[in-house]
Amino acid sequence: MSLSVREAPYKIPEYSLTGDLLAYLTCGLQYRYYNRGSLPPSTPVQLWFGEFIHSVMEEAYLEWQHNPSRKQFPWSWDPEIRDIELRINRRLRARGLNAQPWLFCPYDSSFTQQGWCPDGNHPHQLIASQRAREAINTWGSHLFPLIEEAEVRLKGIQDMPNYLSGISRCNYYGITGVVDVISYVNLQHAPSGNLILHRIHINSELQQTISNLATPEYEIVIDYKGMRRPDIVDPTWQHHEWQILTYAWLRRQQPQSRNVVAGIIFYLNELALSQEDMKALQNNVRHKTTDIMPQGLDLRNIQNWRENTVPPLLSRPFREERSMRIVIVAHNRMQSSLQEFDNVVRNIESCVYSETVGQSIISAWLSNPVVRNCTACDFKTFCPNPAPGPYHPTVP
Amino acid sequence: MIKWSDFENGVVNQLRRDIRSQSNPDQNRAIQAPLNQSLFVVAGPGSGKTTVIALRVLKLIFVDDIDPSSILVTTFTRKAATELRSRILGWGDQLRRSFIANRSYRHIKNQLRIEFNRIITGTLDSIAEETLGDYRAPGTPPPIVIENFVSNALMIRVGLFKHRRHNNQHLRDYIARLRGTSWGLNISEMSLTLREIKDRFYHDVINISQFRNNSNHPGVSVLCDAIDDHIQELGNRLLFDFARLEEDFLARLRDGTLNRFLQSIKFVLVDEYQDTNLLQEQIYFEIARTALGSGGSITVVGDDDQSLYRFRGATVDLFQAVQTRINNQLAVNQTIVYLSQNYRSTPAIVDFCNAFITLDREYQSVRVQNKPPITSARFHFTNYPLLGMFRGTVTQLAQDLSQFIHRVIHGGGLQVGDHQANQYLIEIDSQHGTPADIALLLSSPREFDAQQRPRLPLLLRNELGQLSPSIRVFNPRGQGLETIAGVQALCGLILQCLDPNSTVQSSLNLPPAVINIFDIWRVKANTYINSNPPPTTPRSLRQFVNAWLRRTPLNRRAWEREIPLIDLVYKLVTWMPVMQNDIEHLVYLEAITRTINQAGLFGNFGGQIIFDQNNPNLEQVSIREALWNIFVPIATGAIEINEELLETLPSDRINIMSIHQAKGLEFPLVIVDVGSDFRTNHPRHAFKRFPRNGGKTCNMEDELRPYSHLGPPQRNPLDRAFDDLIRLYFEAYSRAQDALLLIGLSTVSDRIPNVATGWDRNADWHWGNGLHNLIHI
Repeated sequence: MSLSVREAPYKIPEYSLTGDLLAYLTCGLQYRYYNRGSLPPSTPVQLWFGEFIHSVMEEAYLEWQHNPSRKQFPWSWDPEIRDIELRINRRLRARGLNAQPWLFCPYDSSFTQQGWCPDGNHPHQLIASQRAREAINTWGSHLFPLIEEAEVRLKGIQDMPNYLSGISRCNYYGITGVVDVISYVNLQHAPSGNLILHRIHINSELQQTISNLATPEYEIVIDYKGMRRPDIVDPTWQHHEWQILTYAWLRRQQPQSRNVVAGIIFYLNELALSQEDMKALQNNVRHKTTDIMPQGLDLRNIQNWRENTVPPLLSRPFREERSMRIVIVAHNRMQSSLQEFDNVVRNIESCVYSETVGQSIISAWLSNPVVRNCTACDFKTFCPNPAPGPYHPTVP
Repeated sequence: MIKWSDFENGVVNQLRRDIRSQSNPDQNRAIQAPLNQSLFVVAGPGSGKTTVIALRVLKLIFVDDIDPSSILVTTFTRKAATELRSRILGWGDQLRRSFIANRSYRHIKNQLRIEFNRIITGTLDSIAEETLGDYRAPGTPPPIVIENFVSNALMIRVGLFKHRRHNNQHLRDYIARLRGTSWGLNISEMSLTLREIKDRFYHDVINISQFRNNSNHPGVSVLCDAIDDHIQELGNRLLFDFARLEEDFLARLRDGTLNRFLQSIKFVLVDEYQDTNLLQEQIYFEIARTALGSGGSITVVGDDDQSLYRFRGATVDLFQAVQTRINNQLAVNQTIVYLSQNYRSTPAIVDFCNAFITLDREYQSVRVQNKPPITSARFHFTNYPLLGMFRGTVTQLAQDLSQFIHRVIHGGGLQVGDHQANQYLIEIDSQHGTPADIALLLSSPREFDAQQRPRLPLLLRNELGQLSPSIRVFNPRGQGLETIAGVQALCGLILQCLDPNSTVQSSLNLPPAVINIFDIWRVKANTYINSNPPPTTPRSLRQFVNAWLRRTPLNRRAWEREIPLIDLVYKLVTWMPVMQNDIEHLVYLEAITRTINQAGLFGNFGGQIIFDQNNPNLEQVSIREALWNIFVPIATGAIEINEELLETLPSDRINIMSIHQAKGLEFPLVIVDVGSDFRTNHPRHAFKRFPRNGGKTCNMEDELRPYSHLGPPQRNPLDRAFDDLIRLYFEAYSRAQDALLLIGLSTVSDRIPNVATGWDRNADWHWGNGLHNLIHI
């Protein structure tokens, strides 16, 4: 009789909704390098701003919750919001995340030198600060009173798709996510004049769902995105819906959950558009590829805007409407989202398997050539299939 | 919720684990104990500890109906936590499905919608980090935990360079006294020792002012100042190292700010308790106090014979005295359960381990009292005899060992006979066996010794590589990052781009060893450039590096002001396919980019090189910072790779690892190196085989413990050193499932005193000259 065979340790592979599943959908090869390989981006603009805006919103909520003088809105940018920003920036710096000079001014008024900024007149209200200010003052008064829990970790397990004993790594996979906010609404004590509830309650499909509830209470899962509202033809539009529906499903697995009826995604860049965002919006309007179209003056301002000029200030209602997206939660929609992510897990597991049997990384993981992603990708100079064409290393 | 009998049936029938009292009374007792019964589980090697812990947790949920989020289980490593968590989730789901299918439980179908994921599992550090983040007050940041090299860099910068303490003779004398020698006492070694002492301050809860005031050595106050400055600096930068994280966690548990967390816990289980320290004990007791008050309990699991981490501050005495300590401080009696059935190893190996752990009479007095010997419960496998391979030289040993391994894997196996003339064939399973079924365990897996002479791991790797078919090895800690060819070329290319004429490098007062490594890297880079790697069009690597050398833009209109170093790295990787494609090299690339990122934590330029026309000096300054904070740590071996990223590595290689790395693992064939380094009975390596004194770790214990509630150690330093060596090899031998092979030089089989070959501390050789208890091959 020969030696026995070593058993692999029992380990359920865990997939984060954003860090794994959405990242893989962007590009398999990029996901292998950045996410599975833990390679840091060379210019982490999106990473910095995402962390910044989430932390600012969380911290603002904590201040609203614990400090009676913060119950009234709007908050002043300096010092009320600025103090939060500086605290968050310090934390991000401590983690090695530094803001780009055009994104955020890191100095207070006591600093008289120019530093990274265009002049020494600090603090500058750059784009990250504009968005933070708008996010708090637009949504804080409506959102904070509805918050039941912030930064809620959600976890679940699913059967491994196409499980094959001896081949698959495990018979299950884990799915995890951190939902920014769980909102709780008790219809008998719902605050009046709340814009979020108003938008929920004027939605006819949701009206129907809510009126059929056994108890007069429900939950909404909320996710902040430090980005603009995607085009409806962009796969990201669909991916965000799958994500929020999966959050809803995970939340429903928790015994303390109560009637999750909707998800809301806040696209916070819509509150203060950069030139790049404006360019994309103009393009969407031109091709009618966005679900919230401008009217009147907003439409004219967008159509007449010229590149490399300051974006026009669009009307508050238009910005509010574009920054908020409601996703209706229903059993069949959740199931189809789970099915979509099952497919992603199946694909990832297949790539992992290819690596374990000796395939090279580039042949095991497929790239997804999309110009917008490729131009910002650190690996484009050696990616076998970048869009729009080959990229060559530059100096510097 | 579920009757115990149904739970037990579910475990036996669905999970195929026979935990019935008639088959497995010890496991049954540990799993079935009521929620409010605190347990002291002494779990011998291979005794199914993970099974017992997972099933005890599931029993509490299914049978006692307790909320999963009120269960806290700590393990020693993240890997163990992942495995335990996976077991709980997987088995939990299987059992739930079976109960839902059971008609008697249909009416509680909704109650069975259990969220097992809310069980708190992890290492103590990960739980502390998460809890401090989750329950933080407004305005306070979540803890940011740093890597050792960052902590080390800060210690050098603010602990040693500040006030030129690195030249302070009193400090140097004191550190030399603790180390037992001033040989090799450079800045890096001084920093390491200071950090070890600082960690001990926390772990042993030292009264630092007493230590400072009562010590009559003038170096002590300098040392305390250096450590104070280091702690202060971490605080200013919002950073935590693990010791400070645990101290903060304890403080927050005590000051009431974590009451909401505390009140949610009803059941505490601590695994690997033999390697806990006083600070951790206090944390566990704080949590347990609330759990006990809510009708819950505390269970500690461990085995004093497997305590390996004294050098990291572990105090095995806390495990041995746990029942008394818990009784005194928490007023609760723990029931003791011995898990002594070993499901891992064959009877021959179990007998060998029992004989080994009992041969030193002095050692028996520090073992948990009345501990029964382990008994083998591994049936239906070949009971191979214990094997030995001893050769005159390490080269010969490597050759013969590689031949042996080759025969086991590819050559139809090796036939051996035991003393009773029974014949055995040693070969891997022809259908499913892989080289990963074999592990070589050593005290250190490094490929070179301190004098840069090749050691067995390197010689074996080379021999195995030359055989046909060749066999690869998996030894992630065998080589320093700085010696790997791909890393050398990449680092050399970066240096050539940033500082092509070594101008900045020469302006720094770098240690000669670092200069030597930088020079080697540059040579490797030039060789690589000369090989003209693809792509050669439209620009070659040489053209790219030359553009940097001349500071002339290439494919760009102008030179930028700030250039992220990571961007340069990724561009260079364009010409290094091995970094793009090979799993191991991708892990090396991660280590380099991580170092660049983390260096931004304590530098001024955040990993960027600055080219400012108004302030040209910034270029030199930012490059100087990059050399000091990024490339010196890499060159001095301070950067470790993240082994977790190697999970997809093919299983076509044999494992070479330290005994510490092998903790918690098992392999069908284990080869233990008991003496490939010991050509003579030289005092320099006596601590690895037959100690002559307690060494640095015991010196530190003796120096600091009088200022801790623990008091001075009861046992003398030499005895502690022997005890630890016995535990180390017990751990090594008990990793084997089917076959165990001891290897070394002939000197250890015929004369050199060595605990691993059956010597006791009184120099009695129980196995005797020639090691005839082994079958020699």
